[in-house]
Amino acid sequence: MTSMAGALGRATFEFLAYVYRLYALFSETLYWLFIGRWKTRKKLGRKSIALFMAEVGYHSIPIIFLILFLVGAILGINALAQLEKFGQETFMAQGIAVTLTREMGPLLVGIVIAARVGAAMTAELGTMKVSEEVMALSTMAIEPVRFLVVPRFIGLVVMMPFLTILADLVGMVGGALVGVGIFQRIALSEYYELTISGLLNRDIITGLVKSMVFGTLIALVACHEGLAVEGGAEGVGRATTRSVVSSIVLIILADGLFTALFYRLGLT
Amino acid sequence: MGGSGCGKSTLLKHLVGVYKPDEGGIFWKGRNICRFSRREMDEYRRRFGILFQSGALFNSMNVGDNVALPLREHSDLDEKIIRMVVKIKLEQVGLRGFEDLLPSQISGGMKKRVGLARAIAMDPELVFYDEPSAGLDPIVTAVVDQLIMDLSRKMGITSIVVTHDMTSAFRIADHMVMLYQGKVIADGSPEEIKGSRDERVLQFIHGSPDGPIPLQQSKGDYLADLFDVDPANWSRGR
Repeated sequence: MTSMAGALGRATFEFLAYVYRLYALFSETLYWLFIGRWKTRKKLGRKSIALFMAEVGYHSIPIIFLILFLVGAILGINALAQLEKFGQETFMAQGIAVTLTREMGPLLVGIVIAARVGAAMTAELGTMKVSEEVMALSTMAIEPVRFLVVPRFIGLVVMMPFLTILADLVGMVGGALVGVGIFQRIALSEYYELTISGLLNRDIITGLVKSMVFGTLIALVACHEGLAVEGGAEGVGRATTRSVVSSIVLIILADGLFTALFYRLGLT
Repeated sequence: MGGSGCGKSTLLKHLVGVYKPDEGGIFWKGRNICRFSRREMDEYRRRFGILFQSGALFNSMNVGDNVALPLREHSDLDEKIIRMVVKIKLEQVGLRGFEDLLPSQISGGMKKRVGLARAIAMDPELVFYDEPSAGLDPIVTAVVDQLIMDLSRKMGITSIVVTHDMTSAFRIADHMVMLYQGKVIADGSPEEIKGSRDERVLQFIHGSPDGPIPLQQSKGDYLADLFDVDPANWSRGR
């Protein structure tokens, strides 16, 4: 019992220490984003920001498209199965729209991006660390956070809401395919009208706020794990795994916190 | 200079401000760099270049962008001038025309030379080299050594070279320091080092397997380790 309490205490302490390290990296990133570059007149690499935005956004479109289309279709089948018991199949449009924009859209995009982009960022930064490239930057008086972390951070935080909007739309199309196309329980015009009337601005905004928070978490975890790599190729592998797992856990934790907060604020 | 694990690279990392010493200081032009503020450290780092053992080139950038990086970061030079400086620096290391290649497309020796071009891009007062001849064949080693000597003699750049390659060390050095187990055991001109009476120094510069620098632990230590007993008790028990 004592050893279990000790292990729990150690795990809590390690988690808090990890969150503190992420906070330290976050504050350093914000410093270079808003204060440092004006104070020191050092530029942020526009080319690298554009590259990361393309990597996060453009190159993630096919996988987001595939996954959210299928999830939308699955949600559609489940909604139909339940709603037809009450003869209310038409409500599936609203159900899918609200579920996707508030919850499933940002959450699934966050998980996909953590696995696809976050892992790649950790592996790239980790390899740079073990091959002395990060040290080379420091010795050239080039701050690694400004040069390496800020462009990745901007890429993720800016592109996540766009991907989420795309995911929401594709998911709704998936749902429509089931309800309108395959089972023909609802007309396309009705599906469209019910989706539009069922969605409130706050549904969309809360989903987009979540997506930006998830982007921030993925960027911080991926960069922190990459820059903290020790011990060669094995260390890079371990850090990459840790990066994906930690990002997904933190995304789900943050999602829970935000959902509770929005409920408390009457934004549900 | 000194054997593997004697602390050469650690000392170099202290000199360039990557590590801070537990005690003592590192003085540059009479000022202790360990007490430098962030801005002073940046200023100090702009005065020197460093060639890493692996070259430490950025794999996502081509050769030209690697050499141009410190210029783009620390100068207000026009892009046209930067490209011209890159060509001059690459010409100095014999690699003009390789600007568009990626680090993965060039050999280890070429990577070192690109690393050297990047190290001298800002016309530094001082260049640090970490094992410049490691992993290079004798001809490329001689080319790199010649570059180091040219930079010192023609451009007045001071070079601090960490190495355990004795042929290279005696070719380029005006002054040598030898480390052993983290301590300085010899300090002087190449002639003084060659004439040293310290057997550890002589064993190292002649590359002899026999001498006071052991390659293996004593037989007592080995047997004590094998049977998992304290070495002191093992000797007493014998």
